[in-house]
Amino acid sequence: MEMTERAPGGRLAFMGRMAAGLSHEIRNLEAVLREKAGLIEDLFMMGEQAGSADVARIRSLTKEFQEDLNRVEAVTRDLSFLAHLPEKGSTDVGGEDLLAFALHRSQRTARSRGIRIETQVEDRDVRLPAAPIDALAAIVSLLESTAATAERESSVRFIWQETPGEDRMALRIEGLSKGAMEPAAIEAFGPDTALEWAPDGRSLTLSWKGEGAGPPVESEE
Amino acid sequence: MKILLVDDEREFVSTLAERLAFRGIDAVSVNSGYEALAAMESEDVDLIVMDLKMSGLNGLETMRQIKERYGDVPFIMITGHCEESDMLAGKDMGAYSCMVKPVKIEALLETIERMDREGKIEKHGDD
Repeated sequence: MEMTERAPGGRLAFMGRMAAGLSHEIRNLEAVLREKAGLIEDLFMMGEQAGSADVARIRSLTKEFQEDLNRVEAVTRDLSFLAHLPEKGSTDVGGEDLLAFALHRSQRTARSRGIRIETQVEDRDVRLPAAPIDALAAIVSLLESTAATAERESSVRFIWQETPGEDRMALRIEGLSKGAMEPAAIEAFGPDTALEWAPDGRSLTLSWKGEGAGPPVESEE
Repeated sequence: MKILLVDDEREFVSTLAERLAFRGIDAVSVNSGYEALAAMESEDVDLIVMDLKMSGLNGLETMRQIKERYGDVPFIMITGHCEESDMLAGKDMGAYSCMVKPVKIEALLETIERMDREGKIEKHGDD
């Protein structure tokens, strides 16, 4: 089987990139909310001039506000999750939490290419294979690569599973095409990670070797 | 005048298009660089308002391809954080200005009027 190891990316660089992405999303949501507030003002102004306002449209906009605020809440939750992750040890965070965060971060790219990403956790009791921040960096990188390079309109499934013979997790990704996913697009998986394609070239496993879960907090470089 | 609004934040551009329509401006909104290229095929676009950071084709790469196919189409760049490097890259590509989100519609209209006064916008619909 072919093994592909990747160079580590710095934790600080990863945190910065994620924070930038989240702040970009907050900015976008702010822009959406301000435009909608402006549109409601426009509708009231037009209503005053015409003698009656488009109540149905205003009502639908106020409903949309609730959905937009749910998005704000989700982004804020992700930001808080990220901010506290370096303090966490490998038993403090579940694999599904890391997958959920990574899925949110790659969803926009995946959607724009018609890619459906599902996640699954086979065994919640198996410990994380690395310090959560390092595991998250690897998972985010892999999901982003998948969203950007997997075949358009395809379905991809990310499955946390126990590494055979070991008491720790590995991440299997089903539904990929080895030919479509450029090796150069897959990077920054950390010093103890390895990528392994299945012989049929349709699934890829990200696993951790060495000591596994490292100390939760380390200074950069 | 027809404006093409390009941003992968769907609700931002669709709402902005609706507000521009109330002000007598015909605006078409699309949500990716690829959709922008397709819209350029079917619409007589006079001005593009382009988000810089989009998944897939980013704003500058989309503008590069539009210029390659359709020549110089005036455009305004919008972004969440207008960093200096973004502004320089936008200027190099021929952006008239860079506006930071959330974009105030009055500021956008002022910029469009200024571009119009300076003869930067060639209106396809006008005879």
